[in-house]
Order: sequence, then C-alpha cells, then structure tokens
Amino acid sequence: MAIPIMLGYIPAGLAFGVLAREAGFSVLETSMMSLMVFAGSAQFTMIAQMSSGVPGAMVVLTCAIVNLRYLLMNTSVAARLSRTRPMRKFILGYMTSDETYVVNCALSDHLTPDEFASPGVFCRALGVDVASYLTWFLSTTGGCVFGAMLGDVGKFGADFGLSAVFIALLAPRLKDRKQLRVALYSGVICSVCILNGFGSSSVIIASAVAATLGVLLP
Amino acid sequence: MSGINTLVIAVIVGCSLVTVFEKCAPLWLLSRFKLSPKAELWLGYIPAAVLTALIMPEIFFVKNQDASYSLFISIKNVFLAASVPAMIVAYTRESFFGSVVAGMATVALLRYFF
Repeated sequence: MAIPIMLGYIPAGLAFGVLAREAGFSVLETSMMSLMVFAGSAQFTMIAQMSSGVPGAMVVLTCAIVNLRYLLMNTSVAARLSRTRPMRKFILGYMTSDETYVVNCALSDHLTPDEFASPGVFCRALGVDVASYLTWFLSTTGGCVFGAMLGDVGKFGADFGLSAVFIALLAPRLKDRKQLRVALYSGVICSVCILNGFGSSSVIIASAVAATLGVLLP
Repeated sequence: MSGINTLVIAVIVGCSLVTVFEKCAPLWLLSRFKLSPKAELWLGYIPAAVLTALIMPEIFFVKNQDASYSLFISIKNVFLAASVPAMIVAYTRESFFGSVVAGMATVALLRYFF
C-alpha cells in the first residue's frame, strides 16, 4: 500500500535534496530536516526562507502555519485512535504526512477504535508510515549528495525550483472555487504587505487574513 | 557551507517541535472533542493561502538593493513567464514532477536564448 507513496516521494525527495544543496545546506542538515520535520511543503518553505535570510523565529512560525493542516487531519482521525496506546499515537502522529494520512484513512475508514488498537491493524498503518518515512529520508539525502556533484545548477533553472514546487502543490487546490477565492485574497494581501515593507511576515499575515476572509465572506 | 551551523540546527529543532506538536496533539488531546465546523473550514483554507503568499514575492516582485520590493510584471521576468507552463501542467495533469520540470526548463530556455 505504500508503493504509490514511495514512487511519489522519490522524485520529490531528490528535488528537495538538490534544492537544499543549491540553497547552501549540508547533507547532515538536509537529513536532519527530513528525519525531524518530515513534512514536504514545510521543508521546502524552510530552505527557501533560511537561504534568503529570514529570521529563525519567523521560519519556525511559518513552518507552524504551513503544517496547521496536520492539526486538522489528525483531529479527524482522533476518535478512531481513542483506544490506541499513547506511545503508539506518538509514533503514528510523528510519521503523519499528507500521503500516509490519505492511505491510512482509506485502509481503516470502517474500523472501530477497538479494532484499530489491535496489533495487526496498528502494524499495517505503521508499515505504510515507516516505508514512506524512510523513502523520504533516503531520497532527500541522496538528492543532496547528488546535488553536490551537479555543481552550479542555476543555468538549469534550479533557482526557480522552489517556486515551481509551490505552484505544483497549489494548482490542484485551485479547482475548488472557494480555495481559489482564498488564494486570490492571499495574493492581494501578500502583495500589499510586501510593497509596504512587511518583508517575511507578509506570508503569515496574508495567510491568516485570507483564510479568515474565506470563512467570513459568503 | 558544510558541517554544523548552530542557527540552522536551532531552526530545524524548532520546526521539528512545532510540527510534532501539530501532528500528535490532536491524537492525544482530541479523542473526545471535535473542532467546530468554522475552525475546520479555516484550517482547510490555510494551505492554499500559504502557498499563494509564498509564490507572490518570487514571481511578481523584484528585490531592490535596499531590501524593499517592486512590482515586476514584464516579459523580461523569467520566473513569471515560467510560472505559466508550471501552473498549466500542475493544473491539467496534476503532475508534481512534470510541473517542476516544465517551470525549470522554461527558465533555462529563456536564459539560454535571451
């Protein structure tokens, strides 16, 4: 069940490793990020912000905003895990990603809390998580090592890589009209903030205000 | 840059702590509670809002020497031009890698020919 996830993670992970190297991060730092944060879009955001000199506290705050969705996802499955032991909750929680969430939801949608707490079901979910986690770790680290051999990748357009990643993550969401509207709000607010010297805090202001407008406006 | 940079490590640890909290806290604390529908809606809008705000300064603006930004809407803006094929591929084919390659290839080609 983890194979489609792994096939998706390998190119994305290699891309992350190459871009992290391009942005000046060492192999050790890149693997630490993948092992300790394990969140694709947040990691891309981290290297984009750190390499352009955004203050550390702002990077952490932005990471927290980018990963707010995990709060939502794991809230939706919390009831199903109510009979699972706290340590196991930690392990499954730690290795949550957008993709493992979708697969594990599909696998366990019909299960009661007691069934989910059984060893077989727990191990199946754990297997999906661990396979995805290791694939992400190995491909990002591999990309970083390989990136060192490529040398200057600016002429291949690699300095556009991070923006392209963000566009690739955003585009499918825009098919929903409400999401599209929130994106437009965010774009306008962010532009106003940038032109008025808000710098790196523009991202946080624009996303919080745009999401709020999305909820409040009809 | 090689080896260990203390500030980078501190930021990674900070990001790790907030991320692990966001992933694990609902499982530990919310087994019996539910978020209000409005809070769920708000959280659901955050990714699109954040991603848009991250893209804006990169493709529509140029950074001046005094670190301020100016609007840069022109055919000479290669990042803005490259975001069009990247967006089209991502939207129509839902291909993450195809979109990134289309964007980067456009930048490389524009730089090569102009």
